[in-house]
Amino acid sequence: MMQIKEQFDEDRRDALQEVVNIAMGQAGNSLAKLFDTFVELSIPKFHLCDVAELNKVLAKNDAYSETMTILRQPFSGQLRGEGITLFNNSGVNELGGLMGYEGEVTFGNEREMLLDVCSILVGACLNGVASQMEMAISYTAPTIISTNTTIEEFFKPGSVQWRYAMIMEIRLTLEQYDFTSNMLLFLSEDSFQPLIQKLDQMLDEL
Amino acid sequence: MDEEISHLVNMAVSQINAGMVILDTDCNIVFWNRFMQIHSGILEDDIKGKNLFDIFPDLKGNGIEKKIHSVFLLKNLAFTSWEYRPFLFQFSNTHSVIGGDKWMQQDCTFSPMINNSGHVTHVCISVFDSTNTATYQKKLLRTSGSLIKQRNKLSELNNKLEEAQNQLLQSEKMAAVGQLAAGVAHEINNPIGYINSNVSSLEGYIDELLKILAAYEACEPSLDQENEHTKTLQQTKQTIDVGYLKEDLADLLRESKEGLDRVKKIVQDLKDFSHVDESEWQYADLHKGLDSTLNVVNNEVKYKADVVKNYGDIPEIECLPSQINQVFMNLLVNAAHAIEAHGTITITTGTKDDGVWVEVEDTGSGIPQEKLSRIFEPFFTTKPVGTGTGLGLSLSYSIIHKHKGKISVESEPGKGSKFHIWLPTIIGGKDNPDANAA
Amino acid sequence: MINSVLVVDDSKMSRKLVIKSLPVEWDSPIFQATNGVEALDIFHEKKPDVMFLDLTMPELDGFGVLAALQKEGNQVPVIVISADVQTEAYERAIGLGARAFIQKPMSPEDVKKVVQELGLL
Repeated sequence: MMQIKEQFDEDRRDALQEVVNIAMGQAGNSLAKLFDTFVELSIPKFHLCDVAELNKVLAKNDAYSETMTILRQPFSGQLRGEGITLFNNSGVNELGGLMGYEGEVTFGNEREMLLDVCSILVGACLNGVASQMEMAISYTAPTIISTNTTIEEFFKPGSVQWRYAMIMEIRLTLEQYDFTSNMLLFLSEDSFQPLIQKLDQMLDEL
Repeated sequence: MDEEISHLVNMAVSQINAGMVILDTDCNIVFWNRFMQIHSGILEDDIKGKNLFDIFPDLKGNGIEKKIHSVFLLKNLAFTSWEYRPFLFQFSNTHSVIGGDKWMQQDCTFSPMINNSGHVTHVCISVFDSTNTATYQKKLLRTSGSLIKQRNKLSELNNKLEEAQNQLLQSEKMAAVGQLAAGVAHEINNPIGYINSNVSSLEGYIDELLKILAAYEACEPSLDQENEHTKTLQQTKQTIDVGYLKEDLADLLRESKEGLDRVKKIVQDLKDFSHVDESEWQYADLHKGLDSTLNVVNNEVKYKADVVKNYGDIPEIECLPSQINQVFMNLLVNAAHAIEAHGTITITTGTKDDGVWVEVEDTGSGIPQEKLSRIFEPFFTTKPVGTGTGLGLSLSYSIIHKHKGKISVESEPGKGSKFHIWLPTIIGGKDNPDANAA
Repeated sequence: MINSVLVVDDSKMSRKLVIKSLPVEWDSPIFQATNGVEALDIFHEKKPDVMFLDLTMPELDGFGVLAALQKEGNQVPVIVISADVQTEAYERAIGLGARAFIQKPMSPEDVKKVVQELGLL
């Protein structure tokens, strides 16, 4: 663990942060066009930590204090991992109009919408990262993991598969719709080396 | 790509056992493979160039347009799953002979087709037949669903059994305690009896002795002071301090008699309280029951509270006295326990609506609002672990209920609690199957 | 005549890239700031002739800087370089006085084009 942390020195972290910034900028733009509204993006926060610390790290943020619906969007390829999106249960009602559903929204519709939004958010961000770093990524269908959990319960020790995780914390708010989603991008251990290589490449080109 | 390979690829895509539909940016269909043709009954030539939503209007207004739009815009994959959208295209089920879902269950992927300049020119929809998986999954869910229901039922039954068992145990305990109390009372009665009679005798004898002393004292002044015997008498009188003796004797006798009276009363109360033989409905005076119960619980109460009695004018009521006393004991002990340092327990009685009411009010710590609705629940207790069974109030509740009465509580944390019981004067309808249950 | 340049961005890599993309003809000192507050301080102290400004920064963001400068009646050209490429962001920046808007990821050509258009070369 210490080794990985050391490997991610300031320059590399800075480079990765910037890559994600740019990816989110592009994502925000696409989302704004898709939903026809202004999209407010937080500055992505980067964590490299033991899964055991994860709870502590996230607990500091009160965006995660309510019970939430948690979804996963797996991706693989040169970068492998999962995009975990978290929605406050209150925001879900807004989605119908957002996702082009006319008339009443059923329970099944709601689930599909959440999955679509998860897919869209994670995809938008990752595609931006992948294209800047010239990496190939592919996706499988997203799924809902939990509909009524707190982050504390969800990230109990032993619940996440990897020992340590690289996490990008990104928050997205849609102005017109009172809708906020938090995204945690988890990268698997075997993605670290390819990532570091690409980052070094980019830094060298400077 | 090599022409031969190209040709093979075309064939593969055309004949693959999954649906493939390619749309342009206007959602017009530019490719419709064999799978789609067979299941829809529409040939490729007849559908090429037509708009997806014109041919399949059901796809409008439930998110598909947005989904496809997102693929064009974001260059990203989108999905549907049979779990929340059973199908995208309504094709008859391939299982139609043996039965199952009427329509084919589908998982679909929407993928961007990107040209050399990096723009998404087309979207490809892949349609996979997931009917098998879906059927098994649903079956599994149903089975586990019913298993869960059964388990819950069993759990509930278990709880009820346990509860009933405990109530029975408690009742038996109470009966045993009652018997014990009666036994002890009986045993004590005898020795107390003869101590009492002995003290009476003693009293008599002391009286006589004092008479002799008095007689002597009367003669004293007229005795010859010089006489040796007189001097001895006077000296003895002084050493003994007769004056003090006379006083103290009286006190000792009086206190002993009081002590004995008290013991007699306690013994009587124990017997009243236990009423082991009286499982017969009878008319009883609740005030007597309250008083005897107060005596029994005196040790628990006396250091914690002053007891104030506001007894009204009440008739005797038809009841099982031992059980009603049990309820009184429960309320009084609870009241004493609720008081932290020192406080007051007020007992008020009165009549209302062909019945009698009794109120036990304490100045204890009170019960919080959210717990109030649960205090008559068996095993529910606000006392720390190890103290109390949590059954007292629930038993009281069922006893009152058996007497066709009502019990309720008001409370304010920090101020105290007030328990209110109402019992009908006459039960009526003794052919009550519950009457001999507990 | 460009006497000095101020580059403002919380990302070191980004600042490096901007500096690398500056016209070679500008042989002038380059100041750097990592957030809006620092940016305003250095701007007032060193009085550069042009400023390259990122939008998303901690402490005070790019919009905050633009607003402050606009209030002072600033005439020094500010070129926004940002990852936030929504139309609204662009319009807002221009409305607050930015002279140009370059989208990230940027290339030296983008910078050259803008600099030429603004007549700063």
